[in-house]
Amino acid sequence: MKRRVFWSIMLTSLLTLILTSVLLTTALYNDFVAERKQVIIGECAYIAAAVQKTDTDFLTTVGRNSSNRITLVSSDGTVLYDNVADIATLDNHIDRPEIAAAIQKGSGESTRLSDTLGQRNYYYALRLTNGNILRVSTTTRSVIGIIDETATYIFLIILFAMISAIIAAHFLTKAIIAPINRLNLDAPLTNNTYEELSTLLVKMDRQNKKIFEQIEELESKQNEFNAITKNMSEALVIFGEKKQILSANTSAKKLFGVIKAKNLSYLELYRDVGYTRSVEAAFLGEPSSVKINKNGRIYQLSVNPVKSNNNYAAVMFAVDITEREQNEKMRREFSANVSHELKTPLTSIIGCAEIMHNGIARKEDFPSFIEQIYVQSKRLLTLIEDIIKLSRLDEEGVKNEFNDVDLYELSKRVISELSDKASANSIELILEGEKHIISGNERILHEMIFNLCDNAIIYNKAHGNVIISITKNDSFVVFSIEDTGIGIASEHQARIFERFYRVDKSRSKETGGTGLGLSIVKHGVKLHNAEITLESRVGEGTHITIRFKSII
Amino acid sequence: MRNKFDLQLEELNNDLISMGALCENAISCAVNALMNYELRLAECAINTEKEIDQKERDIESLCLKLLLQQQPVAKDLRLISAALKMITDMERIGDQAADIAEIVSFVNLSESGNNVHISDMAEATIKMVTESIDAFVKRDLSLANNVIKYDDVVDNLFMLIKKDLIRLIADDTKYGEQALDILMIAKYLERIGDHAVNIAEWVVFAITGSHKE
Repeated sequence: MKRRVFWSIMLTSLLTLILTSVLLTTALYNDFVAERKQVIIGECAYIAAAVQKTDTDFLTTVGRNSSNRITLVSSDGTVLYDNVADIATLDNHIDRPEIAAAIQKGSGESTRLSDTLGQRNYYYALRLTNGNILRVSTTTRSVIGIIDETATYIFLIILFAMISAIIAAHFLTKAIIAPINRLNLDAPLTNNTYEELSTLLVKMDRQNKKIFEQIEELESKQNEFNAITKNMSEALVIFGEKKQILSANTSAKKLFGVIKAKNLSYLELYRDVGYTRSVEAAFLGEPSSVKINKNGRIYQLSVNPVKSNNNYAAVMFAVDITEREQNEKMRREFSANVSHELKTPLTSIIGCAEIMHNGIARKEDFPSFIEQIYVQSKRLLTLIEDIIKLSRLDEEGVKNEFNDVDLYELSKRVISELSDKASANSIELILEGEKHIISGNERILHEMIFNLCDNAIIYNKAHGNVIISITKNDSFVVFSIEDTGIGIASEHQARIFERFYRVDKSRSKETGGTGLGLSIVKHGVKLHNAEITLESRVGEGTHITIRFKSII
Repeated sequence: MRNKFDLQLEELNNDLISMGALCENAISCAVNALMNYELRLAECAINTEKEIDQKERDIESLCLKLLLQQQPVAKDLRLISAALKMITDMERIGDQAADIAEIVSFVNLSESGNNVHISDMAEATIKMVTESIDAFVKRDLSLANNVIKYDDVVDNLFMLIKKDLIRLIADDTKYGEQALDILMIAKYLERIGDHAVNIAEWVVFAITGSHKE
């Protein structure tokens, strides 16, 4: 900027200087030359007039005093007199243009450069009456001569111009730049500077807005990403190309027990061999998945490679699959149990039938075999019915069959159904509370109460009692059943609602039942959005409460 | 030049951690093999031991290269010399895990029925090794000191097992051979605990520059 300003000033002043001096010199020079010519012509005329009247002695006198060169040439060109040079050395002047012109026309002039370049000679010749030619010449400086003489001044002027140009450029640049420096680039349109800048400022304003929008968009995306990763329960870790951690979400930090994960090496996060192999495989471009045990829970780690400039980075995702694994285990156990439970009565039936079929059994033993077949078939049927009930509870369809059900009436009905069994075991059934209506499936509720009541009778002590009460507590209808039975040890309490789970496996035959009763209760509770709680102490009894949502 | 040095130190750090991880794996394989009588896991421990040996040689040559080429000082020098000592202890841990795995094929713990203390001891040893390596990874002085203190627990368990075994032989001499095998295992576990203490002490040295008395 400064240099350009400087050169602009410099060139302009130089150009002005040159043009001015050229024009001025030319004009003045021409004027000066013309004047000198007039003087010479005049002088020549005087001398000619004088010479014609007098003789050459006058010429000698004039010649001695004149600053101009005076020459007298005869008509044949021989030099008769010269006040500067020795006439003997001068050659014939007939071919000089001014003399030739004078011989012919009476007067003549000519301008010639002298031997030295800086000078110019002007000659004026006049024919005298006697035929001789009088020539007066003067030497003036040529243009080059003038320039040569004034060169020092010109140089000084240029130097002066240069210095002033430097100073001017410095201040000018500063003055031009200052308002630009003061521009408020955050709000370009509010500036009040050069008009020439307005296009730039408008453009800048537009770009500012664009940048601002883009930053905002990026920020919102980043926030979105942070919000998602921060709140998700799955652990997410992103590894950079150098196997260092770029980011880890809150769950990941919690899972691996680190406070600050950024820039840690992948090995510093966790050292399990399955994990390290998976991560290393991902850095070679192979996605992999592995199960790890950490803090007593099972996690599924999925490590996926992310290609970036010929190298691989990786993303690791960890999901807690403890529940899934447990469910899987339970399902496996259930199918194994179902087949086993179904097989037991069937084996008895087939055994009895085979004995009779082969004719090994005596005729009088037939009734006992038939009895056995009958009992086992019934058991098989109950089992299958229970399984059907359970699978029906798993379906959502039952929800549509909800009606208003009076729990008190229902419990009364169950008690009357079980009164025979209770008295056979010398157990007293007591019903407390009052009518409370809930919304539910009557068939399933009946099944639930029946199973609970049945269990309370079976696992009771002789002369014990079972208290069923229906009460209302805030917005809940509470069904509670309490027995004075054998109780459930704490290690079994969590599992008794599992299918086919038996506290005492050896007694299952004795007490009957399929091992599915409480499982049906649990599913029924879930279906009715109720809560079930169990309190039990070995040898003292069990207290089960179910809290149903009241319809009002 | 320094940049390369930093990278090599980083590599050394990672190698040490992965060697530690291999040790943890070897012990947990050996102990699981012992507890559940799974010979497949015993094999795993023996294979891991070979990997540990290889890793030891790798780290050793890396350390020597670092010492010769970079002439480290202060903290870096401490880390490298501690690394050279630590890998010896880790290698011994790997060897002893493999030794346990070899005995496993002759010992079925469920036969003699008394394995409470040995499982406690195995658990305690694994904890010590894991924590000593954790102390290195996190440069955690207090964790390292905990490991050093925890050795008493393992030593006490060793004494308990010894008493258990004496009682076992006194009750019935047919368990004599098995009792000796269990004693060997207990001794190996106790040695592993000692090596974990050594590692923890080297961690303390790498951090503070002074050796625990």
